[in-house]
This record gives sequence, C-alpha cells and structure tokens, in this order.
Amino acid sequence: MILDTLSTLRSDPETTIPTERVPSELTEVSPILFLSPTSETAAEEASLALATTISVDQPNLLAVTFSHTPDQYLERWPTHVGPHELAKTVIVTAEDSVRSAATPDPSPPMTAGPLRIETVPNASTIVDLGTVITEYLADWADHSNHSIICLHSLTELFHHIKEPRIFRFLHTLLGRADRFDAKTYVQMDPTVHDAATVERFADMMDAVIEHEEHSQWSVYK
Amino acid sequence: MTPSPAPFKMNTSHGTGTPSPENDQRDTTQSEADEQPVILIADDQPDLVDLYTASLPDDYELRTAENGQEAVELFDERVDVALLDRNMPKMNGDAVLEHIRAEGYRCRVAMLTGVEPDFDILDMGFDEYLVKPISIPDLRDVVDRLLTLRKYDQDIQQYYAFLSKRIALEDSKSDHELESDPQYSELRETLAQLRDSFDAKQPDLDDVDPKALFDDLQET
Repeated sequence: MILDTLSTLRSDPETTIPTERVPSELTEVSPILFLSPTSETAAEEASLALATTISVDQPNLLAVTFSHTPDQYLERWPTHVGPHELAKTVIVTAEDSVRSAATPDPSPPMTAGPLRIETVPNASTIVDLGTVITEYLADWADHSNHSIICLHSLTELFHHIKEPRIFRFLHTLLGRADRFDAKTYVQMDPTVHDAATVERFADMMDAVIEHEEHSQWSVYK
Repeated sequence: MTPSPAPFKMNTSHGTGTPSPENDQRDTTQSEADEQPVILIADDQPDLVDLYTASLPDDYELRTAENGQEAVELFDERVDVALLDRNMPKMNGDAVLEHIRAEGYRCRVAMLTGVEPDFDILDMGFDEYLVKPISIPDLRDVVDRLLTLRKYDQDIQQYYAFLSKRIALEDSKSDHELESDPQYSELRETLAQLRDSFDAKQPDLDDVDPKALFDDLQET
C-alpha cells in the first residue's frame, strides 16, 4: 500500500537504512519528510533521535502535535534517544486536544529539558501556528540555541485546511526555518494521501524517508 | 521539439486571462464566494459524465458536454473548473483547452483522459492530468483543489501545473526516456526556478513580524 502510494517518486529508494542508523545518516539534512502512518511512533522516534544527535550543544525542540495530546506525545517519547539532551522542549497543540487530555500537567522525560506547552485554537488556525513557531525560532536564535521543528503531522492539517493553503504555509515555515538555521522534520501519513499529493510536498524537501517493516527506512532523495 | 522556453508558454497564456495575484485575491471576495462554483464536464462517454455528475457535491453548478464543440458552446467566464476528456468527437479536448486559454478564461482545467501522457503535454495549458480510471475521491479532490487554487497567486498555480506534468510523465515514462529528453530537464529546471522565486519573496530579515508572514493565509 505504502509503496504503491510512492510509485511516482522517482525510481527505487536510493538506499534503505535501519532505524538505528537514521541519526548518523541524516543528521545534517533538512527539511526531511517522514512518510509513516500517524498510528505508529516511527516518525516521532526518528525525529527525536535526529534532534538529540545533531552535533550542537543542546538544541531546542519545538514539536507540533495535532494527532495526539501532549500527554500522548510524551508517552510516545522513546526511552533511548541520541547522546545529547535537549535544552528546552515546546509542544504546540490545539486547545481542544489540551481540554481532552486526562492529565493537565504532563511530566517531561529527562531528555526533554524544561517543557512548555503552547496552544492554538485548532489545527485550522495556521496563521496562529506559523506565528507561534516563528516567534520561538527568533527567540531561540537570539540565545544561540539551534532549533528543531517537528510537525506531527501534516496529514492532520488536511482534515481542516485545503491543500494549497497547507502548501503555502509549509513553504513559508520552511523559509523561516532556513533563515534561523533550524532543522525541520515533517510527517505525512502515506496511507491517507494519493501519490500526487505526497509528491507535491516531497518536492519541497531535501530528503524523503519512508518507514518500512522490519525497522527500516527507505531514503528517496 | 527543441528545449526552448516554448514548452512553457502555458505560463504566459495564463497571464493573458488571469489577473495579477492581487487581483486574484480581490476577485474571489464576497460576490464571487456567494456564487455556486461552476464545473464543466466534457466527455464522449455518457456513463462517465453521469458518474462524474453524481459524484460531485450538490452545491456545484454542473454543465455537461458530450463533445468538444458542445463544451466550447457551454463555456463562459463563469466556469471555474473544466474537466476535459482528450479524445472527443467534433473537437478534441486539446483543442478545447487551446480555446479556453486563447479566450483568456481564468478557469482551471484538468484533463481526465485515457491517453497516457507523452512529452507533448509540456505544451498544454492544463492544471492537472489524470489518467482514467479515476476514482471518485480523486475526482472530488482534484475539483476541490482546483477551486482552491483559483484563489492563489499565479506562481502557485504554475507550480502545481508543472508539478502535475512532471508527475504524469514520471508515471508513464521510463527513467531512460525521461533522462534523454531535454524538455524533461527543462521542466525540472523550471520547477526549481519557481521554488527559488517563492524563496525570493520571503523577507530576508530576522525581525520581521511573524504574524505578517502568515497573514495572507487567512481564509478568504
């Protein structure tokens, strides 16, 4: 199913790498599109492994999660990440996700550093979302911290917003990330979108990696 | 065909009928938003026309034609999206498309066709190219996407149109065929230039108002 979805991506994957080698192979690459079902944790684990392996001291992480509540996102936080702890973690989510959360004050994992939760009204308010992310990027750049943005997932935005607006949003966001030297990891669920939709967003990325069975990632560009 | 700018003249022909980006935004404000979207479907297979019309939302105004000549007769400036078969009697879909662009209509066009794409599609002014059979969800998606694209800048429309051509060709051609055709290289180069032009529009400043960057994404 997933491979069928990717049929229009040029030819076969350039390489296939096991999960544990993702950090060493892709640490310097950004932006990356992770193709992985929202129900699986592979993209979140790989993003965090990359974020905590990047060879700068204690980067800050800004994770956008509309697919899960902050609690659920933290529960999915892997036990083992890369060698570096994060300086700070910010989770951006929708207000309705926070209201539905069972625990109002989630405990961050040790590797996350101090945790802050930001909310936007809902996933359709991409002006608010873009503003929040950009403000953090600017603030962190002022304090010489490198930034990592993880967007879990682009697919969720499709439930609320029409594709060309998402396209424009992501393009603007990637432009800002580039300006502030931040690394950006974006997840899409390839079981939900047609091949052409995946391709339109893949075209903006420096790498596209798809999660396969047996803990492997296929790297497409 | 030589790898000249000619394959990409579709861009400039859009410019003839399409207002500037600012106008594009202004043209899709209240009065237009109140009107039903108008979709024209042209296909010489009546069962397919019936399927398409039954599958699209009730709040669209649908016009149907069984050949290209009928399609041209039904066309006016109110048509938002045209779905054109390529092989039709009296006047084929390619000729209907040429007519639409020559007249400067602003509508977005999807070719819904059984014809596998060849490099000649690079000369054509469509926005999407879908090879039959086309699923109902894909049909709805393409109409919805094209209606939304009408509200956006010309460069985004162009980018989507070129990307659609690239995807269509990559679906039907071998790697060798693609790599040996200079027009395909030029297509990729054009896409890269469009991406660069998006980047050039972004402010190269750290202290720009973050909200202002995203403000034009407000729902109109």
